[in-house]
Amino acid sequence: MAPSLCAICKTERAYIKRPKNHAKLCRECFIRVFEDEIHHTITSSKLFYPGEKVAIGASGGKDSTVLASVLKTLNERHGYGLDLVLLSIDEGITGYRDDSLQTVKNNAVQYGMPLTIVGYKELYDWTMDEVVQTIGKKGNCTYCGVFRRQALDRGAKMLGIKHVVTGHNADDVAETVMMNLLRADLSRLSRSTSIVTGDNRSEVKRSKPLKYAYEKEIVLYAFHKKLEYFSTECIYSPEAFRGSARGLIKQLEKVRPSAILDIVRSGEDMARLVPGESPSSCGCKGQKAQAPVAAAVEEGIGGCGSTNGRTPGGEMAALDKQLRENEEYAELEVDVTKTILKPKQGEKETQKELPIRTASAPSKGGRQVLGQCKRCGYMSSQEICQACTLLEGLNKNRPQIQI
Amino acid sequence: MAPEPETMPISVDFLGGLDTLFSNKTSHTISLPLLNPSDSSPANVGFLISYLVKHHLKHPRTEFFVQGDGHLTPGILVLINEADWELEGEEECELKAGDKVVFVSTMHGG
Amino acid sequence: MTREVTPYAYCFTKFINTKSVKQLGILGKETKPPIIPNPSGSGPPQIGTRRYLLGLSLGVSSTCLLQLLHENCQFQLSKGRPAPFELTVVHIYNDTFTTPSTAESLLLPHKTRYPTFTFLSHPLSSSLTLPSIDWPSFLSALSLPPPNIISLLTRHILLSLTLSTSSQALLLGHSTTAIAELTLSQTAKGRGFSLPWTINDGLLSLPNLSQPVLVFHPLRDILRKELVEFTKLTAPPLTGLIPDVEKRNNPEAHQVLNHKDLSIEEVMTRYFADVERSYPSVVANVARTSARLVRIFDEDRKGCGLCGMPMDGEGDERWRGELGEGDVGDEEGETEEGERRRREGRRWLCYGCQRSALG
Repeated sequence: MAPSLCAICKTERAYIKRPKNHAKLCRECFIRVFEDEIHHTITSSKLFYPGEKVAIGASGGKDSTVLASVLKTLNERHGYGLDLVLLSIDEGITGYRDDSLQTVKNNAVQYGMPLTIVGYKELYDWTMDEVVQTIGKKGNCTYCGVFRRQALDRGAKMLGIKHVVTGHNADDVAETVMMNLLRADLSRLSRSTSIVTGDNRSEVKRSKPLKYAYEKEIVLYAFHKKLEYFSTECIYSPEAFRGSARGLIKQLEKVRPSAILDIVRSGEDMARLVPGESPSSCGCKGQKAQAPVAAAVEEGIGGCGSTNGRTPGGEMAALDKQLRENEEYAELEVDVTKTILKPKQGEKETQKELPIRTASAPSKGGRQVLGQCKRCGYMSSQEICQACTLLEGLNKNRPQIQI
Repeated sequence: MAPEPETMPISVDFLGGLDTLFSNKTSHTISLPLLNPSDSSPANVGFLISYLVKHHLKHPRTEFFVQGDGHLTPGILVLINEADWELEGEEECELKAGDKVVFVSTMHGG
Repeated sequence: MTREVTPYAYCFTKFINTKSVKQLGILGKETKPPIIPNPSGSGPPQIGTRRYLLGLSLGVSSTCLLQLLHENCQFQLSKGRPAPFELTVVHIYNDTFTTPSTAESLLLPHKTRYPTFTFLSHPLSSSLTLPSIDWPSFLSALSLPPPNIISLLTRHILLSLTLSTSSQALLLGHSTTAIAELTLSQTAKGRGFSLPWTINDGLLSLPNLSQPVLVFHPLRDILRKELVEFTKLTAPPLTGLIPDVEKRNNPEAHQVLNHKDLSIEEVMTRYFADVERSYPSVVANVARTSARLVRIFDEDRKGCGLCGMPMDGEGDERWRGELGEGDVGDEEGETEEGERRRREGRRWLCYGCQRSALG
């Protein structure tokens, strides 16, 4: 078939077909449009202010590599006046992190950005290798994710930086939306769709400038700009993704490429419908308030192969098990309290919340209030933050041999 | 052994972690038969994929590359001489000697 | 003819029956029977019988619901009580492919089996006269409704028929699995905002509808695989009432030639067939999710010309930037007419309908 011409310059041969609008573009125009759209996201969401010091959470993978490259380009082109640095986490996984950190080091040189590496070992006195030796491979991604979240914030604090940007892309956000629908975790759904997390109470704010960028375009951008990135799956992350939210997203993209952004859009819209999450969602009387925004406590940088839902087989099975255990209680309550909504005159339509237990909420303790962890002082909605809770368990089980 | 005149050299690259499925090697040169033996049609990308699965995919987890129905696993990009295969007719795109085909997984960590 | 009912069949059908009776009990409490004038012309007005409208797609779920509603009536009658409700069963057929007489004949076995209910078949094209759709803006936005608009039109007709037959509620047969699928497929189509209106039980009040309609899903607590089993165990089985029953019962059996030929709905059906088998609680969980979303409705705001859902003006402009529609992007070779439609569509259609109708 005859090669098509680029829809923008109408002179060069098209090499790229964009998933979001089917436009056929040449390499140069694609790279320009991709960057222009990130610029649009940055300006329309007012992500930065001039002179701001921003840490790029860098894993050496495609997303953070592209993010660093694009931010450097835009910072120079549009005069953002940003002071950009790279911040990497060393989880202590021999044979995986060593190599990806080398990629980050190369990037630091290429982009002329200072690099700081923070190790789990220095923060928690545990490497992931040691964690896996103690608890096995099952569930280790939970530890890794919780530790990483804090590690980035702590690293940023050490550097006196109040803003960390991560490489989460549209596919990641769409996956999180689907995953949170699967586990009926509406408050996390609400949080995960916003481009900036962490409010004025938290010391470090996070944002995702690639939120509307397709994973496919990120890979193509890296390919055509010949960016060096690291792409070996974390050796501890589960392999299969059959039945997972990620697999579903990719199937949907195949059927209808626009689906990924449509899911992101749906997620943003639904976030406004989550009770207690938004001022516009009407102050329904008798409505149980959701936990106040806990500032995306468990969100990880897209570093390992398991962003929110990429631990499928295991995650789905665990979710199913937990739900079954809750089921008999839930069933009792549903029938008694289920009420059909009836809007009264002059009152906006409301919906009584069914007393469904969410998969993850440890709903016993009543209202959660954002405070500080009693042990480490890190921002937490619990008395003891997740990382410290996990560490406590780990320290009890530290293999005796090591003494 | 007699030379095999019915093949052509195709350069195949596996990126984004797919190299782990193909003997941990990124760049391969494949001698692809000119005709698909099943129906004697000219070799196209669909045939290349099934040929790779049959002769070069040495990893037990074949589902990372193809699905049960023989189609490429969603999430893998294909570039034919650097152009998105969606512009070239996907599986139907006919190959000629010296063509460069790149498979890139988008599924691995970021 | 009598057939021996096995203990398994007895228990299983009883289990399904009990689950639906619970829901119908809630429905009964939520609806008030109509007050009708005294037939003698004087004296106090009398309490009439509740009337419901059932949307029958001739699929597994709605056929099961028909049977369960029938069993519910028969049970009350057997106790010497009056029938708890009157039922109008409506099948909407696509008159592009089906003639009225074919549609009529499809319902014959149902009429024979359920003589106490009223059956209607109704052409899809009747939606062209519905006041609840803003046709001028819809038609200016596109020339021919794509297939995925059909379910929207069907819904509009059912809502309007509920009002015109003076029914107190519209009953839909969605199983837990169907609701879960609908939740995720609506999400994948950019219609997340409309979920609380699409899937929840309750009064549906749309800007273009003359009065609110109570919509109810009595099978929302029953999995699809359970309903499939139920169709085989009733005496006589329901399978005779469902065209292409084998195909419907086994969505995965279709040979797929190319994944691109699947629709979003089909991808979801396959996905949930898998999840339902391995993790049924997850399916139930998804179905409950949307029930927890609240409806935001600003009465001053115009509804979408097609689906009637509230429009979200604030997000759309910014989104065009994210979609890359600012400077480039419109389809290659798009005619001026096409471009005019696109612009027109943006003004009158919600995000989801724009994406469905304009691609």
